[in-house]
Amino acid sequence: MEIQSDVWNPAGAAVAADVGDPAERALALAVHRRQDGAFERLVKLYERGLLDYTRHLLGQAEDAQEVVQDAFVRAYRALTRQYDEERLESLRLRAWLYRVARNLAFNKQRGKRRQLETPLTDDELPAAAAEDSTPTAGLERAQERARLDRALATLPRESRELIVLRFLEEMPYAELAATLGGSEAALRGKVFRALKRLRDALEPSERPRGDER
Amino acid sequence: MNCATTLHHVDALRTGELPADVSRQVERHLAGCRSCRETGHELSELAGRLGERPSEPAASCWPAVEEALFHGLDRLEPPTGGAYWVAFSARGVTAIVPGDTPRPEVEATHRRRFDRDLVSRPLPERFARQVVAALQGRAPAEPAVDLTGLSGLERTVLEELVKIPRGQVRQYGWIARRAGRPRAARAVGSFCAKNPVPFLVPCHRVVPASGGVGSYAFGPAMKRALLEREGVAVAAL
Repeated sequence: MEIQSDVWNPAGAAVAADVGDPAERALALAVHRRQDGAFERLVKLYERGLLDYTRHLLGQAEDAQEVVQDAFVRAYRALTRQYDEERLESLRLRAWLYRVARNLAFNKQRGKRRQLETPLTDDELPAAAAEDSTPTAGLERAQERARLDRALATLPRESRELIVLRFLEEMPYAELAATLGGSEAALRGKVFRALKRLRDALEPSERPRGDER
Repeated sequence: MNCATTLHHVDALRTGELPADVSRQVERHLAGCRSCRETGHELSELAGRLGERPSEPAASCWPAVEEALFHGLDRLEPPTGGAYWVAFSARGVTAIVPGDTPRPEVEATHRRRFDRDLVSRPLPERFARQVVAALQGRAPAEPAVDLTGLSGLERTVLEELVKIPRGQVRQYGWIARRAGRPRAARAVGSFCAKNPVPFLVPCHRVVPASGGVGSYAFGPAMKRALLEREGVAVAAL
């Protein structure tokens, strides 16, 4: 069977925001210079992704909210007081913000003396009940979301994190490497294994069919 | 290129992130390997489903972040004359500074003392009314001030100052006793002198035991005028 090249390399699928995105740099610089409204723009640009990511790391929406707020407060102080303009030149803003949130999330976990590597416990899993409380229009998407979230929550922390950053936050591998450390090649292997784990965690009926059409 | 290595690269191939030579090798392997094509398609489909997944709507954390990092700053030119910088949080006024202080100095001092940056914002009307009333000798009994950035004793001292009734004065020793530190009159005096929200927290109602009105951050003439507007017989002090 012939593979269709656009499945593998669809036009426009190249992930944006690669090496030292100029828009990111300009925003970091504006915050550093304390320009009016700059930090509010930064918060509104990244908060949703960070919250999603932290929620998947911690399993608790309230803890995630607290961690993300704390991350922004620290980020602001670092950008305005610790970093000079030269250092900002080489800063990957988004990857750095995720690192700050990640460290805070881990500290919080440690504070609670819990095992980072274990999957989330039953009561930390997203509730299955959401499935029938949603209006019909969004029902299917909500169910799909709940299924994926449940499967995701059973994975080890590292896999969960890779999937959220790569596929929900759509981070390019270069940025993923800047966030988590390690080489891009090594991360490609890890992402593949994480995705395979997720497939295996889905009920057989929920799995992608994988047939070639 | 073998099957395991090929599959590692499939996701990056999808997004065009592979170097050209690796990309060619992966495509060549896929063209000849049905099993890798199937696994690759399956995982790509799953990746696509994850990407479409709507993220949960959540309230913006900006208000909480803003409160933790910033106070507003505005200039006030009251009918009683002069000009003042007024810094404030959502809760209340955090600092009142003479208007002839250069703004960078106001900002630097504020950052040191409250760990907050100042941003230009219009002073809420309810705060402005209180400051003007206080300058006119009608200070509110429950001033809208935010003392959360201050240390324990400093805050206690300021809270005791608010309890001195309008038209009356007290001595430092009295405040020290009320604050539960009867032997710390000197420390109490220094907290009064550093009061960040003069007029609203009436440090002008504290006078020295030795007589007279004593010193004041805005000068003794201003202190005398404030006390007179509040009905204190200043000449008898």
